[in-house]
Amino acid sequence: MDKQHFLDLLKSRVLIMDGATGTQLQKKKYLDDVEIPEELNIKFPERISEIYKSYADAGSDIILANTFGANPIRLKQHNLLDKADDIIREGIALIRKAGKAGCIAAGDISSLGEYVQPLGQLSFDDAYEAFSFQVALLQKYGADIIVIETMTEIKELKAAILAAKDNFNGAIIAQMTFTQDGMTVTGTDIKSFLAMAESLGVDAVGLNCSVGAKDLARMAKTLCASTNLPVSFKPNAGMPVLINRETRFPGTVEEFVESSLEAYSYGVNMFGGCCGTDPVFIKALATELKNKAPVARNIKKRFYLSSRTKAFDVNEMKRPIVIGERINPTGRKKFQEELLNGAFSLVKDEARAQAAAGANLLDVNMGVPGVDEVNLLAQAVNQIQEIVSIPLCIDSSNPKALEEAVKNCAGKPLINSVNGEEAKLEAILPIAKRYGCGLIALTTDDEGIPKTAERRLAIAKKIIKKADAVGVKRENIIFDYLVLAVSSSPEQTGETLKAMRESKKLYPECKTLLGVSNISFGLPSRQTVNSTFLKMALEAGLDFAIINPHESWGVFDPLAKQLLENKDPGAVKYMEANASFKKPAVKQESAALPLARQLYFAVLNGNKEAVPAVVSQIINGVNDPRGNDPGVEDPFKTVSDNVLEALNLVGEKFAAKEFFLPQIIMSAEAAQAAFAIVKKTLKKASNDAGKVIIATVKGDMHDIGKNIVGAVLESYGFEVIDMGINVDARDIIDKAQEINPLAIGLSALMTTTMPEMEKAVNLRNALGVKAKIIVGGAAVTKKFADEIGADSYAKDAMETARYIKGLTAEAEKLRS
Amino acid sequence: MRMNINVSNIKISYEDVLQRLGYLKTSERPDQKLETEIKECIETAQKLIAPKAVIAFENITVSGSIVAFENGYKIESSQVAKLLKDCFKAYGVAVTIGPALEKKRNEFIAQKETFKAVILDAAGAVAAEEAVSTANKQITEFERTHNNKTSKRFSAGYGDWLLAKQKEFLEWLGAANIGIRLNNSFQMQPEKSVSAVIGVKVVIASPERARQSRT
Repeated sequence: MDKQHFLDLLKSRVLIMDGATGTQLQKKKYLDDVEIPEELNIKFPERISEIYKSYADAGSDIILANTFGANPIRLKQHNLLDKADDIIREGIALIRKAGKAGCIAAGDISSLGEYVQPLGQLSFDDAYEAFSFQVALLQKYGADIIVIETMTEIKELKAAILAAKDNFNGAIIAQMTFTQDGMTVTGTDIKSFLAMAESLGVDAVGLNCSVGAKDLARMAKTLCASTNLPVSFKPNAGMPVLINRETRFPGTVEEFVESSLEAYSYGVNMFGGCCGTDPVFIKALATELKNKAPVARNIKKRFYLSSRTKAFDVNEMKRPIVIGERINPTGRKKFQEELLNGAFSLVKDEARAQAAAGANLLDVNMGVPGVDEVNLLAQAVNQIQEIVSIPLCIDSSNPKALEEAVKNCAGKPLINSVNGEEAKLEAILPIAKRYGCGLIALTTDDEGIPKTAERRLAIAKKIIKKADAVGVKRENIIFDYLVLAVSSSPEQTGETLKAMRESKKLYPECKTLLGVSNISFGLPSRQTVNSTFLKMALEAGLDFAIINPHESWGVFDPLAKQLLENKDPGAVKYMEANASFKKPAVKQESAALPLARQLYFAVLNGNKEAVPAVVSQIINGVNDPRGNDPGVEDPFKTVSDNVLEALNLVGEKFAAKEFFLPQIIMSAEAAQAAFAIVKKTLKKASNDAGKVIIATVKGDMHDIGKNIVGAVLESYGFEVIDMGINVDARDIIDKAQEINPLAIGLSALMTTTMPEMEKAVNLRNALGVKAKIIVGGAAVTKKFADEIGADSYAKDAMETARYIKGLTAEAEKLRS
Repeated sequence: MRMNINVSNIKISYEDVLQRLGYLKTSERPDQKLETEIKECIETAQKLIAPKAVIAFENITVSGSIVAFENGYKIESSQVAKLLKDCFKAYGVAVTIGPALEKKRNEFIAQKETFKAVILDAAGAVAAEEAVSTANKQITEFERTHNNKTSKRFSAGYGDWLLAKQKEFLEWLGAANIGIRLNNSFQMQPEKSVSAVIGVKVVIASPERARQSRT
């Protein structure tokens, strides 16, 4: 069945999908002699045929093939990758045999079992490749449609949709599964799901599994009220409860049908069931709904932008829609330095601050000379999306960087930007199309910035023509009619506003945008001009404004207006009134401190991102802001002294219960960053303070406490040899014999594994290894340490560090 | 009333994570920057958890240090026997938050992002505790509607209920159905999993009432 035929069918009548496969197989104990359900397709095909047939007999128009988990990652885990072809071929073929004429065979796809980065470890490209493998086989063996279902993570869904679009000719249905509060477990709500799925060009969207039919019907209402795409509805029979080794589903057939009828009234087009439903559910559903005409939905056009957890309809938003402009290194030395060091602390600070100040989107620009922008921009997108929920505007002139970033962006972002240059259009329009992004289009071309509104509109026309040809929807285009400095081009402001007004008439589907702050370049009291201009632009039909959301945008100044209307030649009147204006200087307290003290406070306050720049300046003998820092004469001593002084205070504060574990760790990480630079600069093979072995003893898998100890010891400059978890006493002592450390730190969390510590102590004594043994962990006590002959017990990381520092001091005393 | 055990919607509380990290109920609080970073890690943790629960129940008899379940399963522990002394029934419960959070934590450890690893670990522990508390409350609520009350919960590895005995306990529960496995040291994987036994006794311990309550 081709795509159009399927979509036409959906216009004429609702379709009945099937019910659960997995829980049916479980109930019939059909899974007892296979690795995974998909293996049944080739090992016991009659079992799958039986399930398919039972749904076909119950009235299903669409049957999902038993290919839910037949992706290469999962098949490989179960040594079935070489059977992928057979499994998928039979999955489809068995439907053809069991189903009635006209039965639609759906290739079923679901999660790979691993989250995509940054939530998980799987790269987006690997996820895409895995889905592509599966979809290509579904295409090869003749699936009529693809159903992507039970997805909980939006980037994984994005990879699946793109793979389906690239490898399959038929219709694609994308379904996610939601919790009771209307969000997926990873925080995506219905509209964010819809915004992304719709923008990527799926043919239908839907809800499956989740929390039972009643709650899912409520969510179907939201979904149906937000889109004109066909909608599928495939609830489970309530949340399963595992009682006495039996999975019980609380939902009844009556509730299921009642909720499905409710969903029908909202305009749902496809109905089926998920976990816990069976042919009885589907038969009851078909009795009520089969062949009914769908309830028409006539949803007015929406233009969503979205992130992982938030979507908004541009058409419903108050103007201007604010795009925060601050994540941009242009002209900001410190920002650039940080990005060159691969750090994102300022990026994240700007993201948080602009979101808090009310920005609706964040522009992200990583254009620093000498960086790998392709990698940096994608990383920045991941980092920002971990901490703020507003959608992003990806800003680069490098098409490769743009593509990598929008691919890695959860949700539907904006691209900033294309223009009328042929090369740009050719490179960027396909990216906007493929990833379904909104697209800012600057009305410039190879000849530069046009002087007149007419010429800018002509470029807009050209861009639209090209976009139409590529298939970028007009509602995704946002024209920037360009802001030039009123001080140097006073006649241009009127042209910009004129072009916007005309654009609204000529291209009503397209939105408009301006980078407002350019207008005031070279003038005093810039914000007066910016804010006044913004108001004038809004009257001319401005939709989006790229601005600094921290500034005040309530000013409307008559003199500025005159200037902007080109009625103040030479800006004479404006300058008279504002020439003496001075912007209040931003206080930069930390920068006024001597470098050594900056380092001290960076470690004390756990500001690890600030450390590399300060330490580098100390080591390179950069002039101190105060000019008289004695530390720079011996830079390595300066670094060491200040880091250790800060750490000592951290330790005191921890002991006094003024600081707690998070602060210890943050300070430790900052100190580590400082010592890492010293070590690199000195090109030393090992750290000065000495070596320490740490390990969690055999039988014990607990890691985190040991790692905290390791981080704190490293922060004091010790070289930590972390042998990991579940380490045999013999291996630990052998290692100690080999490297002769100052101390061995042993961790155990359970009483059952503590005896391993005694083994290590005895072995150390028997082999004459000199290293001291210090023990710790939840169940370990000082009494126990004494009983087994350990040299010390530490109740936490700071005590461990104190003890081992003491050993260093002793060793130094002996040497001298 | 139907038994409803659902832990899928639990939320990780910032205050509980702070407590887990050692912040006491004093005036000492993280500063704004630290609070923001801890909350961001908790948000990540919230996205990574997929809490699930499994329960089982049987009528029991307690004799000496042996708790005998009607299906033949036994717990040998004087402390468990003491806890379930007046109980006619016992529930076993196991919860897990799934493997994703621990994978992410381990990734942070490997990248030397110890701060994030520590917060994620604490948030995972809070989530597992919240899941088992939620399941416990749901059991207690169900039993209350049958005029019964529940005992405190008790886990293998504490007191004289040996950790090694957890294997049989989890087998009885069918904990593998929600992805809980034991390693060779009898520790649960995923690590942020909790199992416990909870006793049920009648509110008024008359023999007649006890008979009526055996639902």
